[in-house]
Amino acid sequence: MTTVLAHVHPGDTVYGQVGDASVPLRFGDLPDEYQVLRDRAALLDLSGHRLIEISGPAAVDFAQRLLARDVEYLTSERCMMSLVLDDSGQVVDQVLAFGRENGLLLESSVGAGDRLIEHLRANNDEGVEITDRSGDLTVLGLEGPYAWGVVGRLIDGELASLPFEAVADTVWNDVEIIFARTGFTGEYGYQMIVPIESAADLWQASLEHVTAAGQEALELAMLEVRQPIPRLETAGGANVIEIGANWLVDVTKDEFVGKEAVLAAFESGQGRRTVGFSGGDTVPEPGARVLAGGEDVGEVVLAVRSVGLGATLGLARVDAELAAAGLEFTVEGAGVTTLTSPYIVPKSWSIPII
Amino acid sequence: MALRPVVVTGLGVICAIGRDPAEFWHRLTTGQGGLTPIQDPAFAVFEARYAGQVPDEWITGQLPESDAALDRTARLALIAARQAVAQAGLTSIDAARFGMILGKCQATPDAAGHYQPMHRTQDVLADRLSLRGPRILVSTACAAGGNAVGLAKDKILTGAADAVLAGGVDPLLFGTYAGFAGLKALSTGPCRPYSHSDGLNLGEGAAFLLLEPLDLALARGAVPLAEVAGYGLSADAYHATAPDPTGRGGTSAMRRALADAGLTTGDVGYVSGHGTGTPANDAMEAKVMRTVFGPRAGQVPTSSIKSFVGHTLGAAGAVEAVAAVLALRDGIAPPTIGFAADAVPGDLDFVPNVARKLPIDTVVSNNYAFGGNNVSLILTTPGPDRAYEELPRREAVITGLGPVSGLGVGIAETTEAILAGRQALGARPSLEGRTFAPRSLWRHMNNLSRMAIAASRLSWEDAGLKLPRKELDDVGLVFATGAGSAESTGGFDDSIAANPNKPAVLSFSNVVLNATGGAVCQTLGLRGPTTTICNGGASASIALDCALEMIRAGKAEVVLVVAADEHVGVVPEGSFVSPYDRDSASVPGSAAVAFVVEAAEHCAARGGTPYARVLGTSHADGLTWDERPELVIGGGDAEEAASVLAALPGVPLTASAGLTGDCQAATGALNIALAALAIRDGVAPALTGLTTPAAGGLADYLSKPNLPEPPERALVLSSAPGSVRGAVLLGAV
Repeated sequence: MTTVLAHVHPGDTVYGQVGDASVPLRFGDLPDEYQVLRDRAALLDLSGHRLIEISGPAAVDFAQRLLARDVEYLTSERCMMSLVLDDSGQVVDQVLAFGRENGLLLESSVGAGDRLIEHLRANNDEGVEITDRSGDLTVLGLEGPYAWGVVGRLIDGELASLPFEAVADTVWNDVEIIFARTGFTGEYGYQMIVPIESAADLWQASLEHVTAAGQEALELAMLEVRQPIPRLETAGGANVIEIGANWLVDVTKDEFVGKEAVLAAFESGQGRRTVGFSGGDTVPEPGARVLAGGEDVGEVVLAVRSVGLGATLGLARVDAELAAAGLEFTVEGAGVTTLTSPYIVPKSWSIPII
Repeated sequence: MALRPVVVTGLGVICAIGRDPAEFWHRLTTGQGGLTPIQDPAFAVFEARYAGQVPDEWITGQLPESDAALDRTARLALIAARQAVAQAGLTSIDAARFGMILGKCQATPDAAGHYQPMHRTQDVLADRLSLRGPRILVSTACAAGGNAVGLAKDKILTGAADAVLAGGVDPLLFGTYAGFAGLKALSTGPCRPYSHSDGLNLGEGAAFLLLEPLDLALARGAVPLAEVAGYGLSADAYHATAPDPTGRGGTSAMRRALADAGLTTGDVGYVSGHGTGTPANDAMEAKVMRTVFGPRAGQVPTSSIKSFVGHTLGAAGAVEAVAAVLALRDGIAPPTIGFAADAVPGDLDFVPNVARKLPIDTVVSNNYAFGGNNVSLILTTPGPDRAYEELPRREAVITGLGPVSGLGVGIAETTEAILAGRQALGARPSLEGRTFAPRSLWRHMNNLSRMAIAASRLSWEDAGLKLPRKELDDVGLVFATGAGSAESTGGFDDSIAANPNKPAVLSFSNVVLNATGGAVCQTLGLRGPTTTICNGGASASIALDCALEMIRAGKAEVVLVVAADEHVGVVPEGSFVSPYDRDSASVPGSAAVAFVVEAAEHCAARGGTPYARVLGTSHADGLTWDERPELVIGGGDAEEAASVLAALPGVPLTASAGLTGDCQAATGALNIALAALAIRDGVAPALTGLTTPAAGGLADYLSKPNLPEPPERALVLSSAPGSVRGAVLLGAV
């Protein structure tokens, strides 16, 4: 699936295949795009996020059973992030669920739409309608410490100060859009779900106020604040607790697919835990061994060169008792130090919306 | 359509900067603030020490010896009320046509320091001033004073009263101070709203405005000081204590007020801001100004007199309304004092430090409260006597019932319990196994809010209402409670007793009486007009009255009335409880009951099935009904039985308190719900245990829950002992 905005992106845009989607990895230079996101505001092409509508009388019951968090009373002015698990507790996807008047709208993570929709359909005991809306809707994102100012100039200043995970149905340029305060990077974040035929216009209008950033800058900034990137973190059959995504499940719910497996993992206390680290001059590959005092205590989940830290930044999955900040490990011969998240402090935390 | 003009003809105020309106206005216009360090050594435990206090001699100097034994709250209120009546020169009026709406935020102690019912202050005043007309205690926290003025106008428009004293009162209480300190909401020095917003100062005081119709005021030679042109209420539906940062709630209150007054933003000459001085409030208010006035925002002066008197909570809206009337009279905007000289010049005009002479014909006075309750009041220069139209009548129906009591959760379980004659005296409703709100909210909620939310959702489902988001923005909510959350009040008091610097802040946010109503709005996403009524057992009946006024005035098509009260502690076992029996004991209970009130045409348009029509309500002396009821459901006391049997011989009388215990406001609401049920389904609570009636014979009472046929009309009676009695007549559709 290629982005519906391909025709408006510059010719030298670098694309990459992420799951089932071809997405812009970068429009120009990664450090520049990263800096725009951290210092000002970046425009994001999130068309690789699949939009799936769940409707019908049992829509809420279905979603409540399929999603790991509590969406029973998700109103049409709220959205929330939740994991979707399979029976064995493995992560199928991490979705943003929007309450709608006739059900819910689920937004998959990048490139995970096919798998998610297949899982939903396979578990449709309630007989709800599951509609892939990606043929007529797409998502644009705004992220950065001054993204709220862009919202004011672009749409309506009142929307900028919406609380986190609030949603408003609004109108831009005579087009009905769904506007949400979200955020992946610790900065002020917004998403606009827009009809495809108007997406290019909104993209171009946004570019009058902000610069576009690609998937690489986005995922780097996500990692820096320990926002889960499911496709990179769930490899190797890691469970919810091992990847540290407990906050994306709610075990107080009566039931949801995967609940028993999650509870069993909670109760057993077994398995490894994930911790951030920094250090070394090279970027280790996923699977690289992590040593403590010469002993193999785990492996690297993912690592990148962090523009914000000016150093290598990664996640390691290590023995539970070692998943703490301030420990010295060795990775591929280089000394690294474990960190407490967030690994960089987002500028938005000290900038009020006025 | 021009409605009957309502004017202010008398003012009264006592607060930190004045013992009467003249002194108050002099200090406001000359920039002399009244925030001083608290001398009471008990407050030395707090870092923040400033407050707006009323010197004792201002109180004692204005009261006769016969009032000296009253508690401080009553004395403050009495002084301000008498000033307003005196200025209005209102000497001869039918007591039954003279009402009072009092705003109060705190449950205030009696002279011995014990809690007393919320409405006690009001009853003392009504006694002293011989007021026997409509009487409402409104407790929308810090919006109560402004809300009271609006409700008073409604009472005149509906013809329920010819004069109404509207105002607010609150004293400075140690516990409240500790609670605000615990929320880190207090400024350590005198507060500096809009420039150095680092917190608020609490204050104390009372203020009253005497409202009457313009035509009657002119006819008796009174001088109108201002017109109450309109008011607007709204619910944030956002958070228990923090304002909605978008300012959406404040914006809609102001827009509703302007619409009610038939004015536009271009007419507004001055805005009396809420201006507490907390960062959250001040930032939100600036947004509201910009949103409502757009490019003109900077040309509309707005100031906060809390910089002079502190935050007087339930009195604040009334104190500020008095200032607004005086601002209109003299064409002077009082300043925001303490305005930082080094403040970054912004886009708004906060009238810094010096009062300003300017032409003002319209003032908007805004208040925003815990629970997300907002009020905007519009006062204008009085116009000439003119023709007007009566407020049109609109038929209203009850379309959904949500009882949550020991008898069951929802109307089906409750009906079953009534038919089985099951008693659940003092039993708490069981809400195990079902959450009625998102778990993230539900798990932090106190019991009263959980019951009320369950009741609200069940009544909503029972009504079959499916409204789009846009319509939910206009759904009203009236909350009725005698005493609010006993659990939170107790928990908070215990925490203060243990350590005043470690108050249970979550409990504190639930101590305000409107907290539960706010939680219902937040959970159901209701943002229409909202208020909270605290008149003991009569609260629900008065709340229904307010709901009808909202519908009649076209401010809402659908209003949820929710009543809740609880008893914490041991329920006496083995008591004989049978209402109207000479030997009956009374057992306290816990319940929440909600019912949906809807404009009949709205219900018809959506194909809803009403339970009953609301034929009438009354809360003043001299109830008369053109149509005879066929069933009476009452509170259960002997005096009530005697008067019902005398007035309505042959009409069966019954009550529900023998099944649930006395759940105060919730029992009043349950009786209204059960009357609606009786009319539609022919089921009513029976008095199966009655053996020795306090009045009449056994045949005068309902002995079987299955009625031979549904009554055409049912009368519901309720009362707050020593205060108000309420009557509601429902009829078949």
